[in-house]
Amino acid sequence: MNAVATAWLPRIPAVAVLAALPLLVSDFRLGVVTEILIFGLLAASLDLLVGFSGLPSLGHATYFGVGGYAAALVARDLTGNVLAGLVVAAVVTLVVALVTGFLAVRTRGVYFLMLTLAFAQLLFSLVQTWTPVTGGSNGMSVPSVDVWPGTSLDSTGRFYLFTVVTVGLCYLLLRRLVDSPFGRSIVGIRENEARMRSVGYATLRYKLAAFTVAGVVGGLSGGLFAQYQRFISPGNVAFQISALALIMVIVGGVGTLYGPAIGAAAVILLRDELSRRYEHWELILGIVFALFVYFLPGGLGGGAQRLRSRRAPMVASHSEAAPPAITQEIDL
Amino acid sequence: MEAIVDWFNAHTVSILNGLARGLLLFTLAIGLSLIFGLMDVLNLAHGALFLIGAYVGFSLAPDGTGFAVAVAVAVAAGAALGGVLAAAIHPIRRRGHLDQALLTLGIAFILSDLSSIIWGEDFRALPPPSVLAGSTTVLGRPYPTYRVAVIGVGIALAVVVYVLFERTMLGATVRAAVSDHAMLAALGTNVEAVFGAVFAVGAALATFGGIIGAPVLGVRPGLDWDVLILALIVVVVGGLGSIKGALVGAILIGEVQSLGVALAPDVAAFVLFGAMAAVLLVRPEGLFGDVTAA
Amino acid sequence: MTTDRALLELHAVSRRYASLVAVDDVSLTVAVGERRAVIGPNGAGKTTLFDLISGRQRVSGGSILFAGRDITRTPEHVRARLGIATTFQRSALFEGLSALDNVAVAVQHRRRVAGNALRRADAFTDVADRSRQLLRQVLLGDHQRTRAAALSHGQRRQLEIAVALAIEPTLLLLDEPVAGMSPAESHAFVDMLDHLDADLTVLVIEHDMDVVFALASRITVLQAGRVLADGSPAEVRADPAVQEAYLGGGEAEELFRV
Repeated sequence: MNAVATAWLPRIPAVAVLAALPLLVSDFRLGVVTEILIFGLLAASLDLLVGFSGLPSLGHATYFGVGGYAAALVARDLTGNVLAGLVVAAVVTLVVALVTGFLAVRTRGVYFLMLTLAFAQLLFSLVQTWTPVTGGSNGMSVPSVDVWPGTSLDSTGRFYLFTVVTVGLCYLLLRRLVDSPFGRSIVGIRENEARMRSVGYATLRYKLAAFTVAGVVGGLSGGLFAQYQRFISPGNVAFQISALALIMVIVGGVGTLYGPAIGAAAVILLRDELSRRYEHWELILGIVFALFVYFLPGGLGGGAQRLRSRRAPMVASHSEAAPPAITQEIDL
Repeated sequence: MEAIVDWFNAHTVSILNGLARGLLLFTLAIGLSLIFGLMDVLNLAHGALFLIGAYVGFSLAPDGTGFAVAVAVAVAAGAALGGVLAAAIHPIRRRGHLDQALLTLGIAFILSDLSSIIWGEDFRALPPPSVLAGSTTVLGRPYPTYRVAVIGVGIALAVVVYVLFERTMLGATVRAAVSDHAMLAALGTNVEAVFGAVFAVGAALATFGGIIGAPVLGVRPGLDWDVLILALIVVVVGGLGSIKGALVGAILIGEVQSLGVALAPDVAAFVLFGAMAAVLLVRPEGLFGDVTAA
Repeated sequence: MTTDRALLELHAVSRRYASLVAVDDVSLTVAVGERRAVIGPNGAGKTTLFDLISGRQRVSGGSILFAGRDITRTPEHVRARLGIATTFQRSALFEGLSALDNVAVAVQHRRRVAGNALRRADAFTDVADRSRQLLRQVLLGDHQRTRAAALSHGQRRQLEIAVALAIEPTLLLLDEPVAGMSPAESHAFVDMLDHLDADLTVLVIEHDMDVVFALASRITVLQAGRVLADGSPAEVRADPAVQEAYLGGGEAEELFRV
């Protein structure tokens, strides 16, 4: 009981603020927060790969895009039920992540980077050419969704609340996963895959499982984003999405799960500010990206962690004490 | 047998186009492969170099005259940019592949956006140099002379690179360094200078590919990412660090793309994916990849 | 507690590379509970032999039986589940994890909960208890929360043993366990190994002959990938082939630094 209380008490203010937000801020800002939550979930799912499993994916937009198109097609052609859309998005990304992951987890290091990148790009050209289904490069509009008939989520406030609940649940599931024995297993594989085999682990299976979970959660965020934007185009699968998600993870700090969510806020706010004043925000983003690699390889979250570990060097819970995996040499 | 001949006759143009595309990809893939093989760096800014090469052609030879000068400028610019990239990567040489890939990714974004600031967002077509305008008869069919020249130049380049790296002392030094970085230093070679030079050569090849490819592919924002991805697939299929792999992989991907679009446009993306997946299932390190390099 | 029951049998095992035969037609039988040392000059194929037994490398020829079962084609992780544990010549730990987690990651697999993603890891108290017990066994009870990367060389070797023991092996392969240790550390380490369960079969590669004679009841001498001699320490020492190869070859110091 006490343990439960200590785990949940700090979360109450955060939950209260999130729940009260629609009363406090404008619809425009609420939309920005919704987008931050959705991308925060995408970044957290990518962190499961990059930070925890040591699998540096450059193509996480694959799952964001697959989930997005699946949810969009359900809303357009089958039912406006938001949950049906998300369930289908999850199932379809599950299949895609299993197939692509089966190939990808067999490779290492740079090959893994290239292969994940290639998957995303192949999907990109697929949705661009498969015009009858996807609307091609013009994209397709997505009808508004509802929880049940009559309870439409077409207002910014309602969709925001739905997003808070969905993203919150997914985040808690991810957190539980990294704190579980499975989480310890994938961190072990990140640290030393050969040693894991020698103590009995079928490491490929664990890597594929982590890859698939990351894909499904990424797919859910993609589905949410399509439902929120009421529109989807090949831009949702573009390389820029993969890169953006990776920037969020790096900026927020790899191997922390919450760091990438902070990174999502930082990157989206920065992008919005920049793009309002200046057309070429990608340039600035690229510079920020390079500066982070040079000067703050652990990201913002990693910096906070370094401070914390300076205070208590011996205390190390296995999930959060992960070293900035970005600096660690990928086992080739 | 006759059916096969008929099939080839019917698809001569597609096959030649695939060869031209493949050889253009080779100019990109060979640089990626060499830089990775020697420096252990995945240079994701390689596509941006290709794009910049193409834009140099557009700026200096917009109507096809002065193409040779433009090529020289593009190559020089590529070499210079390669030197800059090598210097930028130098401080994080000891870090992991992901850090290096991320840095070059950031640089790719910067170069990509700078290009669209300088050259705009529109699609630009570039006519071939006037001496190579028009068409030639190849295998009984008219085919653009310029593309024939691209194929010829690509093959010549492949031969030169192959001879240079597989048959000369210089190549032997570089290959030895690929398999044992420490050895090069022990021999008293200035390792940083060699790395800088390889980066410059790889980058110059990319801008060269960009400018000679411009009259075939056109120039537009986003071309950098498209060619980067294709080059990465080539390297995955061919095997990192292998010249033969880069060439065979490039021609294979060029043909799969060209014939795939001609024969089955709806599933062309799947065909490309399928080709890559098939190779990887059988040989995860690529067709000509060195297992130890993976 | 040596019995006559064979735990490990190698029949004409070889491992060939392109231009090199690292292990050449090696046959040997190790009984349950035996403490066997494998010695020989550098490059004799000792580590390769261990890799073939653990499944890290595949044999080029011959067969391997473990507890009566043919494991020649069995992958490494399955051999680990069958009870073959290894420590490596170069320390192989999970550097970023605490000593406790290094052991726990092996224990949780042994307890078949490594794939559980729905409960917190610290809810599995049996895993934590067993891990702590193993750390105490290798004299690291006070370093549970220290990151592996922060341990001293000797402590890292001890932790290696704990990780290997965590899978509850019946066969333990130790590749130069005391290399790089100070005499005092080495002594304590040998003492710890001496206190391992008598039923546990141990194969150890070691250059330090003090350690070999302290630990081993039987010695196999490898040279150029082949078995040169095999027997009790006294037999091996008296073996003419060994004397010829080592004493005559001027490498006596390395082999018999007694």
